[in-house]
Amino acid sequence: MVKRLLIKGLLIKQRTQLSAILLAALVLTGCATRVDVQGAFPDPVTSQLPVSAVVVFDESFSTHRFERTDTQEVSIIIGHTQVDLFTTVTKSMFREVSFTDSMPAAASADLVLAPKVEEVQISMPYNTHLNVFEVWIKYNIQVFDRSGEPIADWIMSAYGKTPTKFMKSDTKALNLAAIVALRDAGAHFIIGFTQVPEIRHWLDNRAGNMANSPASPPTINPPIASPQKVSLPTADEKQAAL
Amino acid sequence: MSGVRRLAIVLSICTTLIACTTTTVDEYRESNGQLDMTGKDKVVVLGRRHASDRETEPDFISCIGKEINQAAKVGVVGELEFMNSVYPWFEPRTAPLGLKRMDKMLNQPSIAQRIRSQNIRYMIWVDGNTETTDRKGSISCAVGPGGGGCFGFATWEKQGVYEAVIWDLHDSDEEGRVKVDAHGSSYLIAVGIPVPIIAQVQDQACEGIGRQLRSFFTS
Repeated sequence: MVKRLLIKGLLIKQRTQLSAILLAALVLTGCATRVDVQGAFPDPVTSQLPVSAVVVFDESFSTHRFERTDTQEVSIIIGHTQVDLFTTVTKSMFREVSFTDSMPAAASADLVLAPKVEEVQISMPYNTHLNVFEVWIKYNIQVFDRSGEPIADWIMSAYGKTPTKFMKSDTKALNLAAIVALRDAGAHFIIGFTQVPEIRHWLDNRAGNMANSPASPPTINPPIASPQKVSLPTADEKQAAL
Repeated sequence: MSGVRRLAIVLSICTTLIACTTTTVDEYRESNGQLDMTGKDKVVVLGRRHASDRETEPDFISCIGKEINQAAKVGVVGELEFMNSVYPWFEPRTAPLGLKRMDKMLNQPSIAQRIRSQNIRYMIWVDGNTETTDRKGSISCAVGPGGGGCFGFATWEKQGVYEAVIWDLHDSDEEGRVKVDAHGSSYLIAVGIPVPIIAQVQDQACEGIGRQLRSFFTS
């Protein structure tokens, strides 16, 4: 009888300890926000540039994770989702596109694009006292020509926010803000690519070279609403050049 | 009375207690009559999201869409569905803020074709948000070996201000504006069990602006 009571007492003690550990774990995880960003991106409405490209998603880009441990632990994994975004966007923007995880020694395409994440910033309602979750991502889009010569280092920023909502979890809100930021990155990339001076200069030169080559008459179709359109010389201009 | 029954009664009282909301709706119309709509014409309701300190709530936009769609039998295209179909031209960074820019966009065949293929005749832009303007009081809760409970009183005020602008994409014209200002106070009284009396500010603003927008399309 005494033995049975001792065993029972031991079991109760163990259960209490387990409950305490579980409660502590629950409290500790309750303070942290961990988001593995999930989302899909639509096919963009854009005109294709008549160039081929290789896009380099290196490991630091495809597995990118941002962590902040100031007042409250926040971690956000954007790597695979931003790979999805740039895959969708570049497929629509270039005549031909291939993807690799390391810088090619000799590219078989006209352009090599190597996007890098320079910086990520997150702002939660307790930081700003505003009813919004915010995500900033700063990219450096490195552009190289076929021979590996750098054309441009394009610093491109993206921003996304989402309002707070009663009973909505921080995880869901931050995921949504990150998706809005990534969509913004896609929009900026599509609209801004041909407006970067060095890239525009490269495209103009290429268009000029191709126009002078009788074997391959080019047809450059610039992205929609781009104020600095990549234009081909008119027939009169060509005549004057000759 | 059993404990479960008592709890059910308390819960049902809690869910039926709704505080009052005052809603003011202003309207401006370009013409007195209804807006032209053929059977296949549709409407899209979009939220403005370019301000840095606030954002028009996506669920508010979807609520207005439902309000217009329900009674008027007007076809409404979902916000996200529309934004995806014309990505990236209606994102917060790229969306047209005025009719002139919208006209330029419609001159781009690929964008115009996507909008035309969905039979979108009217575009309604909604700008605004609902925010908590004032907070008073406090509630304390405690849990002990014999049970737990809360005690105190808290009140907060919410205000929702929204403006909707209707664009006719066929005529490239602004057809009207509707502005709604809704505010209400919510209360939380706790004597053992907390009893919330919540003002449905955003819902009332949606109903007010939705009803008025509906009147543009039906008598």
